[in-house]
Amino acid sequence: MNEYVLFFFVPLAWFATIFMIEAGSIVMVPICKIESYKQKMIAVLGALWAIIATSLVYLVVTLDTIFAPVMFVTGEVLVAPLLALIILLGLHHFLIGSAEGAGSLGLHVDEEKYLTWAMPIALIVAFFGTTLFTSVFSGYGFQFTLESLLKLQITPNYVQMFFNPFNIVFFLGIVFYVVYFTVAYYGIKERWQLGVAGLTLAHILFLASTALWLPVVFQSAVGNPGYWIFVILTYVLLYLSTFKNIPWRQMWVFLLTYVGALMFGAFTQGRILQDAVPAGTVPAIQGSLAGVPASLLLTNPSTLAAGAVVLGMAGILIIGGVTAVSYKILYRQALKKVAEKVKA
Amino acid sequence: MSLEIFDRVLAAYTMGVHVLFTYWAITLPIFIVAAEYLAYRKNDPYYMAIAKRWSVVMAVLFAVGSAAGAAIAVEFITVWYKWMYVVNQVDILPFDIEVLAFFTEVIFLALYMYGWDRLSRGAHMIIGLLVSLGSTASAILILMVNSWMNTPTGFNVAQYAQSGQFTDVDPLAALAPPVAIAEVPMGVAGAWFVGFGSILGYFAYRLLTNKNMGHEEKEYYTRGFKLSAYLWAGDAIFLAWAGDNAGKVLYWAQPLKLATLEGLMTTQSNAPLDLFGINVPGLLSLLVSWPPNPNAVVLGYSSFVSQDWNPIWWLSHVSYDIHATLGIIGALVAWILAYSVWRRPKWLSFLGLDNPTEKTIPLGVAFLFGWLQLIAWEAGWVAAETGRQPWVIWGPMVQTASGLYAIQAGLATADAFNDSPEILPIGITIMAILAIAVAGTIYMLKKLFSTARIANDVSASLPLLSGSAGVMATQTSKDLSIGNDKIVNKGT
Repeated sequence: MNEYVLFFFVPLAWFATIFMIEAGSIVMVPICKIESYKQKMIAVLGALWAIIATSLVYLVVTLDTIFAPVMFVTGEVLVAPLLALIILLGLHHFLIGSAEGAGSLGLHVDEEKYLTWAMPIALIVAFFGTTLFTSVFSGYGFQFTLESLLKLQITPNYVQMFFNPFNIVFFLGIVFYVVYFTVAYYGIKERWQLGVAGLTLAHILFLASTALWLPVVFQSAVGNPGYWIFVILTYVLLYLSTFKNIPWRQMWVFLLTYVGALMFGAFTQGRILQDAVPAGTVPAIQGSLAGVPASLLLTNPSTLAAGAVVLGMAGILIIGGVTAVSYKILYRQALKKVAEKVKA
Repeated sequence: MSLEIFDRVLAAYTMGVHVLFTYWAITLPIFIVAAEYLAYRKNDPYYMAIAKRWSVVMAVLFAVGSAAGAAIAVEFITVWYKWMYVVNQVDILPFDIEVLAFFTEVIFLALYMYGWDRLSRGAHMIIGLLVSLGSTASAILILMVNSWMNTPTGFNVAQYAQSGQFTDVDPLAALAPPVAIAEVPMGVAGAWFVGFGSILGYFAYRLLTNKNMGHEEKEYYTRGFKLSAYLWAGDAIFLAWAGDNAGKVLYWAQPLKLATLEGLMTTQSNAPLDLFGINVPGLLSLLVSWPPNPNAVVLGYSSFVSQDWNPIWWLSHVSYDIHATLGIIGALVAWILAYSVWRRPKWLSFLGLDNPTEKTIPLGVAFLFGWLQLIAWEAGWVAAETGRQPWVIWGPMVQTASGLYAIQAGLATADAFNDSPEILPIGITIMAILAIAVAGTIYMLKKLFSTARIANDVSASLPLLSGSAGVMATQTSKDLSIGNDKIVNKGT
């Protein structure tokens, strides 16, 4: 697998993991009946704004740098969902920002109201994001002939892109994983059964959807002991985080999810349009596997080499610096306020 | 409206909203750190209150500004994807480095906001300056991309224009487009000018409209007025040089764009400067040439092939006139105000300049010309962008067989826009959401500040100052109690 293609999964997996914390928290706030967890979730949401904004920028710039020709796909096939996603993200940021503002003014009823409004939008954002992801890897919603594909002349079919079985099953898998993630991240002992159910369903749905629609990913995963170790670790971590209160609980949950997302990237073997271009269609380009190698879409080598150095440094800064600041300052401060509030 | 026009309007609108926030993102850290420094140096809680209150403004504006920035980033890869493809292939390094600058800004902004009572004074102020460094570096890098669009380097432009192939790609050379030496100083000085000007305008407005304010409020707004007036005037010196330098660089690097901005149709020596019909012969030649020469020849449209003439040159020209006129008047106002705040000249008492923080004329002028800089710089940005038409990416200027000059275009605007019909409804929604975000931000800031009283902030600033038992702090505490008594009495 091309090292630049693999590198792209660093920001992609990072953004997906960060967004999971937010989506999990925002969906749970209005329905969570245990006040102490609810307050922690609100604190997390307040701490995430910096890291979400920077992660998204990092992801887009990495895409620009590594895959210059992908612009013809983003501009001609994904234009509507990407622009719609920006509208939804704008609304989502506005509501969370308003909730933060209301919270700092002591208007806690308004704070929860804004977060409740943000909940369906966060879910739709997640659905849009997942759709973009699944459509690129599976090819659903991309209309082309072999000839037009090689010239990057692809047209969209939005209905197929959003409402294909793979997208829906995969999205449900993510939703169930977020349920597990939230239970483990906050160590919600009272809901450990929900965590187990969510995790089990997530694993089943991921395996089933990739077996049917992403053959390269499925074959790479089931034949890899690392994947099965990952599956076992997810259950172990759920037990430790809910019953044993392990130190650095959030970090372990976050790290394991990030590693899982990176593994997914590695299992794609850098191949896109896996279900739309079956193995053997263009062996000269494909080799023996299904799909098209994403390395065909790389930027010219001079620009790529120079850009990768800067992106590597940016990766260290965001993964190290921004996260540390978000956790040590924003989150810890917010938790302190929660503790003071509870005490009062 | 054609899709090409709509795509351009959408990009202009989104960018116009985003730059509004960047003006303050670049300016506020300097203003805030300057206030913090004065607070420590003079042991003055009012300056500290300024620093603390405005740091909240900075954080709110940063959050909304970065959301608008994300919208632009996505518009680049969807609406203007053909342009972005060329940028990605040759000039993506400034964007990559800009990510580093953006992260620096985020990290140090968070540290600054939460480090008031946790860091040493020096460390806290240095962190504030690092926020400024991050935001200014972001601006510089984006201006470098814009400069590259005007004078592309780092690849064979002519070859690309003919065949669409990228040859001789050198991403490091793309970091040094010739016109950057004009655009970068002008952009940074301009952003500071709008930022300091509008901050001054805000303090002037408060002093102007609230004549019955309490002691604390008056001290607070007066100090804010003075500080922003000095910073505005200081930047006006930088701006004057940057403006002069920009004209000189355009003269040799982009003479066609200079002709567009100045509305110069005919090539001539002793070229006049024309501002809204006021025509000064020889002044344009004098200003753009080095060494200054009133008889220098300035190329007009008559020296270029007609198909390269800017179809909307009138828009660039009028926008440039608005920009230059308001900017020049703004600089003069800045210098006069700073001088009068410093010297309180009796001989200018007929203009109220002997007491500029209390008299109506200077306060009104500061408010008006402070805020008009927003229009000046939005107009300047319109002039700069429309002045590049009909191309998104220019090419080198070559002489044709007829003796006229032609531009070897890198990428024409007509070839770069996205003609997908779905952009229209989604684009309109994006514009509406951005408008709501701006209105919501103003509402939120207003609400935040209407609930947080200045007297409370001044009082809360005392522990941050050295020996809060110091003379001034004690005095301030007395003032505060008197002020509070007044409020209580007023209330009763």
